[in-house]
Amino acid sequence: MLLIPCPWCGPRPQTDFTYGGDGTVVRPAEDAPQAAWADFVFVRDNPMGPHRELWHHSAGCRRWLVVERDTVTHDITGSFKPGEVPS
Amino acid sequence: MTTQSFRNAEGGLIDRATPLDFTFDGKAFQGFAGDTLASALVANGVRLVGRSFKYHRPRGLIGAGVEDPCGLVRLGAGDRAEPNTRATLTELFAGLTADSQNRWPSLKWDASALTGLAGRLFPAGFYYKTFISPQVLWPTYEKIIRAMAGMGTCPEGPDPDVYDDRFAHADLLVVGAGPAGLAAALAAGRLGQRVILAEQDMRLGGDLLAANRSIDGRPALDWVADTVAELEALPDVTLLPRTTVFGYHDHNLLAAVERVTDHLPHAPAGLPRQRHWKIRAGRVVLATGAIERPLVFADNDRPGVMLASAARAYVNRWAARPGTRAVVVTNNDDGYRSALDLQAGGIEIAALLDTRPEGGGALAQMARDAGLSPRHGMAVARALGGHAVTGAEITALSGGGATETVDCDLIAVSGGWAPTLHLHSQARGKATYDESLTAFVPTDPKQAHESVGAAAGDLTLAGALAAGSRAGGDDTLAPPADDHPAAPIQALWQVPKPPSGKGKRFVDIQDDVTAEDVALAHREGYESVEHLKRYTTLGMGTDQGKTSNVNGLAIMAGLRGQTIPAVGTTTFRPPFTPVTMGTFAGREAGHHFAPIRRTPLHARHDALGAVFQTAGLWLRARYYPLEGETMAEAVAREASHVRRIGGMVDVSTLGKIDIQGPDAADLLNRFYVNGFKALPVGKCRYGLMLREDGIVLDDGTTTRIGDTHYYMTTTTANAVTVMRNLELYLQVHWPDLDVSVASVSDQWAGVALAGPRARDLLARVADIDVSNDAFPFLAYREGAVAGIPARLFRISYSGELAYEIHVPSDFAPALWDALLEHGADLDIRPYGTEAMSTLRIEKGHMVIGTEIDGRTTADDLGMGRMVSTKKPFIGHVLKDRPGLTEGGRKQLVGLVPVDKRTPIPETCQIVKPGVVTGRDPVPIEGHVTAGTFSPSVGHPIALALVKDGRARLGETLHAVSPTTRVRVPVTVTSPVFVDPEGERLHA
Amino acid sequence: MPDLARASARASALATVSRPGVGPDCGVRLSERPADALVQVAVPAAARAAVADALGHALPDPLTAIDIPGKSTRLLWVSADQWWVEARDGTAPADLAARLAAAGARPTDQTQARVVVHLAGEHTRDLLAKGWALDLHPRAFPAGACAQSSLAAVSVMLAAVGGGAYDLYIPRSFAQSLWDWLLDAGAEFGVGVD
Ligand SMILES: [Zn+2]
Repeated sequence: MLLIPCPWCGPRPQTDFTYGGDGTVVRPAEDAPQAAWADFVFVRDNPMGPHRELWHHSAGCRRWLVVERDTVTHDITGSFKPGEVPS
Repeated sequence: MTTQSFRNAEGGLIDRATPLDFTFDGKAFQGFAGDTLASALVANGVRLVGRSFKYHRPRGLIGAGVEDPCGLVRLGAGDRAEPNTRATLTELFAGLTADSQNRWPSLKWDASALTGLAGRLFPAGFYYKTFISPQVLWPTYEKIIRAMAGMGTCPEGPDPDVYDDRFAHADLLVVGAGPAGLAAALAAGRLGQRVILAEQDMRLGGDLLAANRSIDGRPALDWVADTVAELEALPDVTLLPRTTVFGYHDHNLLAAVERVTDHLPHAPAGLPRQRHWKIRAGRVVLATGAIERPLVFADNDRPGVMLASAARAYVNRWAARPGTRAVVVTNNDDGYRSALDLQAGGIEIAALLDTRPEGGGALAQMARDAGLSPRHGMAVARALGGHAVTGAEITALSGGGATETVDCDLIAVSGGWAPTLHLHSQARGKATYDESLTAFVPTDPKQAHESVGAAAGDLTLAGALAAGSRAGGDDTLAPPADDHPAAPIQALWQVPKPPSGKGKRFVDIQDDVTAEDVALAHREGYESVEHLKRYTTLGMGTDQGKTSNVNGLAIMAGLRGQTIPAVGTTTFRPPFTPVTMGTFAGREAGHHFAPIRRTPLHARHDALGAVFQTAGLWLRARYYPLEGETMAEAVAREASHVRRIGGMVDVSTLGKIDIQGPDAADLLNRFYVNGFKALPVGKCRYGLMLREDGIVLDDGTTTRIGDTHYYMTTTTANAVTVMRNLELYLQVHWPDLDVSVASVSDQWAGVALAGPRARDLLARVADIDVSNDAFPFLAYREGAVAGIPARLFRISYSGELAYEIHVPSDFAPALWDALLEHGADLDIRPYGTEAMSTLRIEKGHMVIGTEIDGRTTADDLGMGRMVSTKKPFIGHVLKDRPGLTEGGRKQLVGLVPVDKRTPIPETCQIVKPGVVTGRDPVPIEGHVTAGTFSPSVGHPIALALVKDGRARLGETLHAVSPTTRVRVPVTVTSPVFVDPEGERLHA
Repeated sequence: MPDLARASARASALATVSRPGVGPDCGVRLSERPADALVQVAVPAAARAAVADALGHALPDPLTAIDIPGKSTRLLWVSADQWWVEARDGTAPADLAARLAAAGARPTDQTQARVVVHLAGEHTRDLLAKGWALDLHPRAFPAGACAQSSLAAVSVMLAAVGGGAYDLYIPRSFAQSLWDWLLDAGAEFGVGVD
């Protein structure tokens, strides 16, 4: 069970969160072409190593956060508020 | 009653004043408090404790603790029986009953072993070679194998015991309460740290309990007692004896099992049998010790062949003699200590063999001083005897192969010590081969943990105390100890076969894997350690190779002509030792399997005799049967009553969301496919939501209750999903929208009042004008109902004139009572979810899971016209992707049986009339999503998704279910069976 | 018009649960403590000062709860820009909500969405630790701390109220189920109901 640092609540057990998928994809503009939307919904990288993911602190503060997690080691190297994610 | 004829009169950590009666294979024995089942059997001279699982060979105790591969028994009886329990880890209690395993008809006379049948089966790779084809015979093969092989038998009934969970947090978790672990806990505890010390044994002390050692010039057990007393007095130190840390998981979470009442004849009320600890630790000290390795020689599995450290543990800790006359064979100095302890315990040393050509350190000299005559360069080539060792064929390793026979009933073997690095390895730490130790040692920890003492490869007592203290945070504490300079170990991975060629040389005694099996695997190309393990089962089973791993891979390394580091070792995985399934279930069993959600009206439904059904975590009133009524009769009665007169149903499970802020209308407009910007205050609107991929997600009504204030309802099933989505889009995708959302699902209860007399009743209890003009369809009003502040909605799911009345949850029973009371003479009655379902099927309304099934679009469901073309909304682009807009999609239609009699089951597929279903695939035209008997139209009806269904009204198709042999000719119809113009709901 | 007195009769979600008495050996004591008003309030940054004025106290920091001195009112941090205001002085939820709305905040009445259970006794922490993954050691979770997490798979708010006692805010629909769990899990310590 991971220990996920919530930017608002601090470290909390994984069971208090809901996984929200790839945190690197960006929702296209409403008038973007269908292909861009298909990429956003269906196409994902499967990186081995550091990755950014959306998580929802569903049993806690109910905020969404971006977690930087190593998919090999499970090490968590960062946790950010949406909009404050370093590039 | 058998007397304890192998028990010494003095010594040991047993309480001779507390005798305990127990039975083994039905025979009565006696032991003492402080015994394990194993030590009590040793004290009673019981050698034969089980049969091996492949060859059914007689087996005895090899170890005295967690490492023992053979002393597996079935403990207890009936539904409490537990197979594959280790005798060495089972604390003796009065009334304990244990039975041996893998034998028939009896332990001594096993049929499989006598016929040699088992012996001829099961060479390495046996399963793979023998049963490859034909596949259809596998079930037969499996039955035979399972009857003969396998390990123990499971109880059949539900487990009657209670298990517990426990979260814990510590600055420092110490695993193992030997000298290193105690020293670490003491150092950290004195520094004020929060410490948990977990020890699998019933007593703290580790190896010191079984050794004649001294610390600081005093008996080591005195130091243990003092240390434990000091730890017990520290408020932030938690001592957990009988607790095995079995899993090391991510982010320093460790799992442990505490055997709370297993050792008690009768568990006190309220106490669980076992407790599953989940410990999040800042740091972990692994003081898990080391395990002695056996030596590989012919018939080294005979009862009476025992690890030297185990033999001395039985003598020292339990004053129990595992034999009377012993041959001790060692490749390292520690074997001398065992020989000395056995001699001191009253066992005659018939021969002391050192496989090294010469040498031996201070302990060897002590042995000579004690009158023992070590013979160098010698080993046991073969154990003699059947059900018990009767002698040893010993041989010089340097050549010739000549053997001599020594009479003995105990062969104590020491092949060196291997650090217990399982938890280190589970935590992704590396294992590196140490030549001087001839064992793998833990290196390169990946989490916040440290191995100390024997677990780190330091076999000295002073070293363990020093490393423990240092790891605990204070290296000034370490006391001196009585270590002796040792001569180097010399690896001996297998003793050559005796000249006679007789006997099996076991590497993995539990799994019946021999040196010959390893050689066979090598010849057949299964060279990697992972292949070796799976091909031969080496290192599998309940002990996971604790005594066999290194010997096995060393033999493989020899065959491959490579070094041991080049061959490597297999990965250790949790659990360290077997954990019973009930422990993992913990408290989440029976009625606590999952939390239960009840509506505020639950007790009212209960009082009315409702039959409940689960909907997610909710319990909902399904129907209210009258005396003698079947479910179908009750449902038809309730549904018919709503259409003819009126009814009320609990809709409190709907998701309810409070939405506030200046951009609330904009948010709704982006979530729903239809427009919400023009919705005036005081009005409700039905809305449909898609997923981004264009598929329908959910539906519900949203009401504008204030200028910038909305009240959304979702389906029961999607309440959580929709709330989470609102938060996702507001927080991540559209942070510029100024809207606040709050779930109010628990704050508000809802009752739907439906039917021709609904208005009559509402007029009696509400303080607002409920006339059709004042409160028209899709209007919202606030008022008091039966004096209760309420939100009233003129919406309908049943298709009747209907209202939803929402009140704060605590007032719901009062509302319900008032509606029943004032509706009594109108004959308004409650109806359940099943009648609600019948009513919605009659109206062609869709629900989550059946019609909104994660594959259907708005157009598939006949809602295409709702979808706005004037604004973007979630899913607006991908709803038009090619796969969703081409012809041939399944569309929502109604079905009526041609004979107007036969029910259309919900499991049916739909085919064309001439299509015969059988083994081969057939073209499928669609499937039935919901079926019911419709009291309104007087015959069965169904909803279905049928290819191009809206263009096929009037066509005859067949609803078929090959598995239940159902075939119903049906006519495709509109999905709306009742009041297609909607006159009733506008009435 | 029916009897208006009905409206004042709040029915407890725990109306039908088992309530063992408090004995001398009870390690944990439970009591139900319904709030008069529990209002969730989203406070835009611009409205914080006005809301503090309306409440007579500053809004508490994250992960803390404050009992306003001299008032029977508790403020609990809930989320970024969200708090609960809990009143036990007879305040009506609608009045409290109106006051907060007037200060520029967005109130949502949750008075009947949560069942408040007070837990006290020497084994309270031991009982909670059977289903609560967060650290409750007084150094980690002192009096005045509050946190939302899962207790036996139910999302709850827990506030440390001092003296080793805690207030548990349970979603109403789960209250009976979690109450039963508390009684069963606490059996080894002895659980009584005040
Ligand atoms: Zn949080």
